[in-house]
Amino acid sequence: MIIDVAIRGLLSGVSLATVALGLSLIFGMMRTINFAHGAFFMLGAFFYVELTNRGVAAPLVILGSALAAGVIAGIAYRLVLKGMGFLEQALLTIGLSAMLTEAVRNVWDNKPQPARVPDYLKGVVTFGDNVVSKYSLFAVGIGLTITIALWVAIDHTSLGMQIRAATENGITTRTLGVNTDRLLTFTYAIGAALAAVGGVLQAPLVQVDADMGSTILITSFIVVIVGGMGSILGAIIASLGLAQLNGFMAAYAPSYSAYSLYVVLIGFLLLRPGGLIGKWYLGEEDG
Amino acid sequence: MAKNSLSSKQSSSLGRLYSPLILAGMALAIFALWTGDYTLLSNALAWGLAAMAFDVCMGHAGVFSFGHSAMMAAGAYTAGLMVVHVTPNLEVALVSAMAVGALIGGLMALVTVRRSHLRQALITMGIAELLRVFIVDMSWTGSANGFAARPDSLFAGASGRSAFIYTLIVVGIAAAFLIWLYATSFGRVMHGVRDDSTRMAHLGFQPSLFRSTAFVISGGFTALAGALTVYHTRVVDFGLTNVHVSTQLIIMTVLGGLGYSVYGALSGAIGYVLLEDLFIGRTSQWPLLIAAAYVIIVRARIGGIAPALTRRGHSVWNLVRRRVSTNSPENEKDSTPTERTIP
Repeated sequence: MIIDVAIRGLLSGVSLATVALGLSLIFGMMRTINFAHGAFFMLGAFFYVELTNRGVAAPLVILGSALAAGVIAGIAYRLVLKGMGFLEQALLTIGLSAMLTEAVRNVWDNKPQPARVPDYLKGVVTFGDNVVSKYSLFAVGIGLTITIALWVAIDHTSLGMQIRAATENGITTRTLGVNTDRLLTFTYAIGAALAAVGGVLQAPLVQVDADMGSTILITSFIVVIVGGMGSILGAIIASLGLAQLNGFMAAYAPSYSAYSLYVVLIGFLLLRPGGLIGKWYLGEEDG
Repeated sequence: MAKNSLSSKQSSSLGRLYSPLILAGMALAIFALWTGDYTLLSNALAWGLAAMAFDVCMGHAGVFSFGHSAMMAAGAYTAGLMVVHVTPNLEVALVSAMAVGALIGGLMALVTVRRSHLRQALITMGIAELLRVFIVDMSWTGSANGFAARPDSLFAGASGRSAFIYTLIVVGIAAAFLIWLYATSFGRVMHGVRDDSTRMAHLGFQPSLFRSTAFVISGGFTALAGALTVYHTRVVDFGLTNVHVSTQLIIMTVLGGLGYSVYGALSGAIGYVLLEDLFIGRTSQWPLLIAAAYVIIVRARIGGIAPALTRRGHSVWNLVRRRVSTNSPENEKDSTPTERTIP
């Protein structure tokens, strides 16, 4: 029982990490409060449905969706979000989210879409007594690869260092010859693309409809806050930990499980706003 | 802000203060008689009240709330439960809904007003989600289905028309109260806290006190709006707990004009509901167009329809912008990195 719950928690934790890392880039590092993140997740799931129905192979589906979502996000950032203050960005991403949701409602029918699993990913794998579907193993594999790749890229490469510098002190970074505008647009696009990949990987496991983004949006915010603003490693740890918490609560204390994430969110915001490994303290207002 | 100056307590200044409200109310009443669609208009008025109440927080006191769905839902559920279990009297239901809403507002204020906008948004969102989960969890709230409730008013009948007139009067009183509030010295200090809280603190006003009071008032009126929806629809709608309600209130208020007396929020919400009803049957792209219009209005810093029409758009939007950029060192971190200055 315990092992079964832990495996399920690990699976959902890895898929959550993909989406939450995107938000960790946009919200944690760039400090753009991105209420459109759930919409990009939803977009990814719809791309999955559309491309799979047209018989495109799974790796191409993932790449294509990420690219499409990234381009949309890049354009949106360039045209709408660039150079705006915090409050305006909050208001604007709410609007972007509404626009994307309504656009999806217009392009695809306003009803749940059937997401098919390709034949070669159907079936189950058994570990002793525990049964896991092949597709979720595939999703976890992709998710883990992306998660580790992103962590290495942000924390240990030159590009990652430029991104960290541009988000921490834009003017100095620009003075040193880095095109911060392009870099931030790129970062926002990567964050949105990660959300879309999360949506692609989750599509066959959940119900695909235009409203599917709002739950994952809130959960991703919880992950970024708990992990600590601006910390990729923190977000990974928080995703895995929160998924386990959720899984074990659902298994052993089902009547309280739905509350647990929100209690964790409010508790962290009030008592430990820096999160687990936060670099930035969120600070107090006067008063 | 609108020039609602109460410098002299003459009747002419009172007339200037309230005449737009009275005119708007009369226009709505005539429109209602003309179309005969009372349910739609009652709904528009209830959303107008909710947006006005939300604007007390966001536009007038400078507290960023992303959880006003909590108060709206709490108002509707309190009213419904009072009607079903205690007394069918509508007035009792409305007053108890306001009390519960003010209580939730006070609770949110307690944990948010001293904190940054970012944490305000997320904490209020978390509280609203907790309430939603609680309502789903409990069987006596009808879980995720809501329930039917038929309130009876002491003063009005059960027809759609009397419900509309009743709603119009209640919303009118609430709007008049808020207009009065913004014109009092309390309201002025509240605006001061929004524009430059550090300065107000140095002048001897405690910003958190004014923000908390604004949050309590906002919570009470938002809950009243939720309770009014129960009166004209006769059901307690579970949909009011959804986070989309908070988003919609933001969109309505910003479309109309954030912090533009009560008229910005009121016209934004009423216009939103009426236009949606008018166009949704003709074009399925309507919600997309509204969302696009909203993004353009925020991006171009027009500051909303109402202030743009009265050519005060830029002054209103500048107030909002100044609040963002000058509040505290913390908010400097919140702005985009490219805008940051070297300390």
